Amino acid sequence: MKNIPEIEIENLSITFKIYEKGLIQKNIKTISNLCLKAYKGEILAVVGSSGSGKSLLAHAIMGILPKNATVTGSIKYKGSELTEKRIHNLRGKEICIIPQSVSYLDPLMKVGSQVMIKNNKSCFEKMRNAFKRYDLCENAEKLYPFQYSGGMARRALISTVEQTEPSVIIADEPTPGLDKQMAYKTMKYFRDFADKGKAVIIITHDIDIAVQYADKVSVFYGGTTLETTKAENFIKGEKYLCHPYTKALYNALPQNGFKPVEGFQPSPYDVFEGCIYYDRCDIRCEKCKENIPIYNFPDGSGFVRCINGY
Amino acid sequence: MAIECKNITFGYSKDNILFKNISFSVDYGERVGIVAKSGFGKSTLAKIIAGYEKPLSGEIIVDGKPITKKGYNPVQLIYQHPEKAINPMWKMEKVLLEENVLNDYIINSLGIKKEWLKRYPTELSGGELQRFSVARALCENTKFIIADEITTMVDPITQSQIWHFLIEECQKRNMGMIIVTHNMYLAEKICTRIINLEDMALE
Repeated sequence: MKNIPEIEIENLSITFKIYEKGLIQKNIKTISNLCLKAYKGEILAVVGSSGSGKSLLAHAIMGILPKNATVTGSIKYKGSELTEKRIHNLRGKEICIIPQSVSYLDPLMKVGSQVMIKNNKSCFEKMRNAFKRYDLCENAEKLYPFQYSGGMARRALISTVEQTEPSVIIADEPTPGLDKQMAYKTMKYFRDFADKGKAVIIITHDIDIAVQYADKVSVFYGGTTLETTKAENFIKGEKYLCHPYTKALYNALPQNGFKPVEGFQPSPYDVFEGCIYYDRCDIRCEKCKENIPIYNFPDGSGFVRCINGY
Repeated sequence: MAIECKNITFGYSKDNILFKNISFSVDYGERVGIVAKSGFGKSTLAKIIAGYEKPLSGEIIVDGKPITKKGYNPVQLIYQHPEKAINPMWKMEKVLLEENVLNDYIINSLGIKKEWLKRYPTELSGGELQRFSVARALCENTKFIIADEITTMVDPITQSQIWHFLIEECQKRNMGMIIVTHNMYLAEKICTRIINLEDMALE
């Protein structure tokens, strides 16, 4: 029997209420039927299309979605429901997020002082140690965000998780703007973190770097998970991946052929029956227009949402 | 020589020099990759070449003349963070109309959806915004494009789509490109030549 996942998400849907024209409101569903599990001691890499709702997922876990969003389905932390009140007490302490945009830094505050959560000696020590680990010199503490490069700001954001001792870290694109060496160093740090018995969720487009450190990979497209698989399958090669989209993603990497795919991800305005990847898929058939079953892999390592199974 | 960078030195003050004496040139039809470690000043150099930042010393020469502030700048920068490069108070339609690139060919090739045009920048994802930044740079007077890590925030399939389109456009119009990236695999696929700034700074 496998232990209880730290974060378990079942059938999550997120709907936004927006104004269309005048006072006419409209609901758009940005995430639908999403399933995800993050275990202790594991790194889960979330990859997939831009605008597929990866960041929204992170914000939904943290309970920081805007007011016009409605969340249905369940998000569990350590086996019990993560209610609004509960996440309010946990976020920033047990569950931490590393935000995606470097514009999350306060432009009017020196970077060193905004990284510290409290102005005391222990927070200062932690900040200084974290900065040292990420090659930010002491001088960098006293600079303002506009004097930082993209990569430096990214490293400052990453260093914020060392202020507390969280049991779950959600990193929303931690590696862009970092050179290869620094990106590997960051991933190594997440690996150490997971090895200490924490759960790490990394949202990323740097698939090639992430799969070398992650345990599992979850593939997102159009607001849902199409496949969850072992990270090593991405290293072994295309034929170990099941879903046609996952394969396309693999083949689009510069080192694997740099092959584009015709067409674009459907927008949340289009109401869909059947497979969300239908119109771009090479092996589509009539059956794909119906309900798509989920096939769990026999070894329990993941699943694929495709009529062709695994 | 089309764009020439001559002995560019930059720093925030005289005793805090970021980089010194960077010189290189880029011809029409070339796609030159620029690599260096994080924090070296690649983005700053990109801004200097595009005329947004003044160097402490050195100059940028385009077609034999220094860059002037007057009129349309033939050197267009596509910025690393699209969320910071687009006016948050403008609808996307206005962003494209400003540069007169609201044509179907560019919009369709980049996968910009019609309904996005009616939205504000905060209502789009980073990858979606970046397509607008790319479209915006493709005004017909553009002769050079500087691409500063433009596809780090998009998925590999979109990355491949954007680059295939950009390269095709550049070849068609004989534009030159300067490409800043950390991804060596990507650089090898898209660049005709790669310059390592760290080596240059050592010489």
